[in-house]
Amino acid sequence: MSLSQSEAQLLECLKKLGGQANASQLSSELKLPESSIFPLSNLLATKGFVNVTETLHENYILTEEGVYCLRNGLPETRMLNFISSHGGSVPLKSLASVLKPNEVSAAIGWGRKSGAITIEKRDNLPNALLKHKQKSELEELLYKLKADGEKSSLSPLDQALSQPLIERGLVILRERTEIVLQMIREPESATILNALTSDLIRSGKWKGSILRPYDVTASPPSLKIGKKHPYLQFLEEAKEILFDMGFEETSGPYVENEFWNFDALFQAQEHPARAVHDNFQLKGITPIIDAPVALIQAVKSAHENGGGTGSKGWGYSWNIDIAKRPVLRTQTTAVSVRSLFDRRTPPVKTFCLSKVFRPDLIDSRHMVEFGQLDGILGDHGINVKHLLGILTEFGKQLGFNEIKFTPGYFPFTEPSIEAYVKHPKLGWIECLGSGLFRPEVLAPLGIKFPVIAWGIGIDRLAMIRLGLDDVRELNTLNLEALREWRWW
Amino acid sequence: MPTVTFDIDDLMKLAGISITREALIEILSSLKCEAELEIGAKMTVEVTSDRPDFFSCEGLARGVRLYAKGGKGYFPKHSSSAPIQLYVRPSVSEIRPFIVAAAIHDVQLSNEAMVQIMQLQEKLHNTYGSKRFKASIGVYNLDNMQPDMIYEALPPEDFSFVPLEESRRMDGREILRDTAKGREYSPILKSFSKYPLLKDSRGTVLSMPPIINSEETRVSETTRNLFIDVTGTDEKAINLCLNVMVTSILERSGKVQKVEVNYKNKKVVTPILGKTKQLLNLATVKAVSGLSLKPDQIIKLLNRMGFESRPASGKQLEVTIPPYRVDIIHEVDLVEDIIMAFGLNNMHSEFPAVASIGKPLFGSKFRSRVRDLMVGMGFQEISTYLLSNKALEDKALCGVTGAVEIEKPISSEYSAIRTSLLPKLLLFLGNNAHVPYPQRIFEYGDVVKVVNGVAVTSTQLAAAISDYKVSFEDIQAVALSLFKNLSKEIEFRPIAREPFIDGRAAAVFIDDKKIGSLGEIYPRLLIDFRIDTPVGMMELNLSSLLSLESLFRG
Repeated sequence: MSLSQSEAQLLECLKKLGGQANASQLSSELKLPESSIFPLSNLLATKGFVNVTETLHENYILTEEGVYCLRNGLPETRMLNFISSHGGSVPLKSLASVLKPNEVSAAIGWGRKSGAITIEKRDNLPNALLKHKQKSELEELLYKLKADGEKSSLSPLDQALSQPLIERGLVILRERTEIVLQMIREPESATILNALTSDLIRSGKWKGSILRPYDVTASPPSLKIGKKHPYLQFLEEAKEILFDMGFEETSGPYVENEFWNFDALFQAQEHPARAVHDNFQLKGITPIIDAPVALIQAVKSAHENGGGTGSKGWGYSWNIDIAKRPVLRTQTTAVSVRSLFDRRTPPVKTFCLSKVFRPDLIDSRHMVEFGQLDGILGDHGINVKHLLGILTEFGKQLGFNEIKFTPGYFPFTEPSIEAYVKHPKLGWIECLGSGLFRPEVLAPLGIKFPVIAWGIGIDRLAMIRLGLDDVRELNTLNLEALREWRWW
Repeated sequence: MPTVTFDIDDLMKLAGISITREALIEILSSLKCEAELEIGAKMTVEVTSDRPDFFSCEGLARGVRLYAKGGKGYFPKHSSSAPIQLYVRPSVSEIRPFIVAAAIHDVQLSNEAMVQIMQLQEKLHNTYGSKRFKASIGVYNLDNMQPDMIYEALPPEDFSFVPLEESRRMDGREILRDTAKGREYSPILKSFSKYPLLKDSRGTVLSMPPIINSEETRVSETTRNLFIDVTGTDEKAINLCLNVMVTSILERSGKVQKVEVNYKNKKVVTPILGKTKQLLNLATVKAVSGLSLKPDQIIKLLNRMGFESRPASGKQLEVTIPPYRVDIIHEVDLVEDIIMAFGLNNMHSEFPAVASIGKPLFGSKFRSRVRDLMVGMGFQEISTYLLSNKALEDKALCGVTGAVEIEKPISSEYSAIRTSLLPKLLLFLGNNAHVPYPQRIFEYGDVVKVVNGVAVTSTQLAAAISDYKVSFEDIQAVALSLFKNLSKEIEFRPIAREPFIDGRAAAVFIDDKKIGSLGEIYPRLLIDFRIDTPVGMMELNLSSLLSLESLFRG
């Protein structure tokens, strides 16, 4: 049975006092108020270490008046001494010089009753006459009560005699409960330790000790633990879904040229289709297109006249210098189209989850740098139904069981489809953009099979999952927010 | 994407239908128009930039009508009047060489119709017109003009007229300087010594494209006959704008009168409202949509999208494209319309049975191991933007070179790509000076540096320890433990350079190659970043170590 530190200390003290002691002894020994001793005694009694006996004590305590009389004599003693020193007879009035007004009647009453004095008239005044000097029996009792006021140790006579003292307000009777502790079992260990140390374990000293118990209900200090970043963890989990669905991850440069970012995606130069979003032009980068000449030529003709795909093309004069311009990647589709060109043999199932950059007014919903997920799936016989199948499955894996589609517009896909997923609280959220790559995109790359492409503004989903309402908080500079962040 | 606002009753009336708002929103959504806002009788939808015919209520109403009730091809009304003559002088050829025009007779313009014409004009200017540079549209009251028209360029001081919204005659320079539109679009004309003008046979200036029309030719609700011109630098764009303008206005009322544009060496009659033909292979419909549709089903679906079609052979349909559908450049564009008419949500979805192996990016496993080790050493991962700025990089790195800089940044805070992770870590610590210590943070991410004009990306790891007391050894121990766990010998060699304290900095070598450095940050720098505790920091380039991730290494 475990003992608290105070319990153990009390037992130790009790042992020192010979195995038996009352509360006041323990109180002064342990420097604890008696009021703390009672609950501890009860706990120790419950645990079987001590017997507790309670006794009712009645004590006579001298009042202030009683202490005065003890020092100066009882009123009757003072009266007799006074009369005696004044020739055995004094006028009653003069007694006031040795008696307080409230003592006079008690002193005279006692004197007449005991026959020590008589009252007679002399010169028409009442005088006290000493008959025989005798000692008051109460005087002695007062001394006795001062020395030992315990009622139980007084004789019945004394107990009866003390009644007048009480009546005269010299003594009061006070009741008090006293507990006495008697040790009936010694604790296993007499040593109390704050910590278990390797020394104690090796030396075996732990056997004779008890460890200071903790208040286990109190809160410990919080730990500053190392954690992965929640946004990056969310991205990892999204990637896991794609690995499970058989997609291979790819990457591409942040600093792109317009060729791969726009032209290879059939976004006409200086056409609204290119200005679907703006882009960041860059300084200090050599303009160059890292693509074979044949591909550049094929893209040029696709733009100008459809390049033999059955398309009319955009019908303008394609400018290679625009295509060479370095830009910050505006869409991860640029990476997808690079991966497609690198592979070219079906099936192609890749995705890229990375950063893209677009000029925009920065606010809680828009940031110039954000995450985008772009996936492609190409194989013979792939059509719109498969696109819907992929989107439905991906939505389910994210935890959205309801999905709906609307037609959309992306310059590089036809048909283009947007998907909405149903969030239990937020309702329908626009989530995915997708489509089949246009023939004008595929033919120049030498791709002879249909390719599904789909993309997600992943930051929007991350915000919903992480419960944030400002997109910039995904890249927070707030350490406390990261320390306190939790998944559930 | 452009947004278009219209009056809901006006649209229903034009479309000849009466349906609930919900049903209208549903149809619009099937036509790629997403309802964004409803205020009273007005609705705003986001339309797609490939459908300029949806840039106003008239075109939207046509789309809704056809989708709901089908149609039988496009037949605009033509006026019996002879074409108006318009002469193009060679003086415009270097400035704004092309013009197309049309007249529309017997129009009835409500206030709402006027609002829609202006909205359409503005949306076309901002998209296909490249903010009036490539194409600029003018709408005139034909009754206040005296054909024939002349399109020529004159020095700005050689003409004057009262521009729209003005009360006095102004010459070309004054218009560019003193009118709102003039200031807004002056960059298009400023560099030329002559400004283009449209004049009539009296010599009256009708407009100064692409800036402003004359007050005299202002169009109002009482105008009965309209003249529309589009000037510009791109013939394709100006024809597109004219066709969309004319076909939209005709949706309400009026008959079109042609204009003969006479250049020195050629004559063009506009508007060219010809219908083009597009062959559609039935096999393509099936291959793209996955739907098994019979030819007559396809014809019906195309009808709902406003296309007339007929079988051209057993395997093809010949589809007639109305002049306002500028987005149809390939047969797949028709397949999309067939799917839209069929209804995407009526299609079955099918998960493709393509066998493949999911695979993370090369380096992902290594990244994951390094992050696990850092977390194991008690570091909190942070994620900062790749975008940074030169001032921050300069301050933290005591001079930076090779940063990729943005030409026109939106915000000075995000004007370059980071060349190092260290500045962001210092920024982070400075931002959290009040947060309980110790602070142990790390970031694993990419940085970009320009080397000989080429942007080179590398994968870096940076970590920082900040506490009331931090020693060189604290951060050195992290590097050592990290590489011990990656089974790599690490070597430290003294370096003396900022941002570290002299004698408390080391270069980190792996395989005799320097991959980074670590040390105690120089106090001056800490103060600059408002950090008042010592910081031990390291930054390592891990690009060359990514191959450590292979499961079996020789």
